[in-house]
Amino acid sequence: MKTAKLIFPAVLWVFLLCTSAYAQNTSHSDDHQSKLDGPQNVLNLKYRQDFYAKKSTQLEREFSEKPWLGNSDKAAGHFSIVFDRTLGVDFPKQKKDSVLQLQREILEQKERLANMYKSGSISFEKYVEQSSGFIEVGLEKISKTLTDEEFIGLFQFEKTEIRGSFYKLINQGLPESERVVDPRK
Amino acid sequence: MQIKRMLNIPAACFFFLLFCGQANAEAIWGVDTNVNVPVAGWFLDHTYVCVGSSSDCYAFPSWSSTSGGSVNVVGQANSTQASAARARGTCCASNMYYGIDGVCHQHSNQVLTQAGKVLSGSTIGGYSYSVFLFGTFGTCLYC
Repeated sequence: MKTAKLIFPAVLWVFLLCTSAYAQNTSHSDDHQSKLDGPQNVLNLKYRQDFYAKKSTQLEREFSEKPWLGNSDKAAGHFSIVFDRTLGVDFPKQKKDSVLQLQREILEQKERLANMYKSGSISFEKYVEQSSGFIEVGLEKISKTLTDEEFIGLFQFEKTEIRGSFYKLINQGLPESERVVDPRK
Repeated sequence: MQIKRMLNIPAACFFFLLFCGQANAEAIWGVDTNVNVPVAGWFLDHTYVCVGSSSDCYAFPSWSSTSGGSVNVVGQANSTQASAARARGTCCASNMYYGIDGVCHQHSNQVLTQAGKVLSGSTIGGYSYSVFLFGTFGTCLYC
């Protein structure tokens, strides 16, 4: 009888502790999920930044253990993280996959040109000009997949600014005398 | 008494190590200069990183600016991580091909990752676009 008196409160305590831990865990995971869903905004910005910074670092560590992966695979993996960060993990999968597929096509062509430049087969200007061509074609296709809002959210520029965007990116880090001029201008 | 003393030894070691860890910790921070190429419509921000002090900064291309701007992200690194960050900052700046392996954003992340951080892209002009084309870290071989 005495033992039963001791066991009952002990079991009750264990039950209460487990229930409270489970409830806390569930609410934490619900909170975590709600912060990753939907587009990035002021309220989830800091949380997402910290969460995806860890994810990017972790992904890079995983890549370092797989030396056979090409640069395109790595860039695609990292952009998938940017995608989730900016548009949310609940973004329609089919649309996301379609964008990532177009990105992969762009990167594969870009890598081929990069290797040609590094081996001395083409000049830097040619690399920029040819890359710019298929990057713009790819971005135009992406712009048809995403709405205006989604495109800006993801790339931080408007669909109307695709033309010449690679030149702008490249010229950012070049001294004025070395900037590559867009021949279409 | 003897037992109490024995219990105190690991505690003292723990706090000593904690203190040493804190004393050797160095900050690594990324700076968004908000300096953009004057093009119509949208702009691209230049970024650089500093390790320990504002006189120990790294940028890509190596001649580009390492002054001014606003702090974008800060991380803490122990002495080993800080040394690795410095080595990475110098080595990647000389080994990466600009516009082919990455731009300043990727170089900054190569250094920041030593403290487990990457740039907070939402406020840096052109960041998503550069990750789209080069990934978060770009390609920094032989470093």
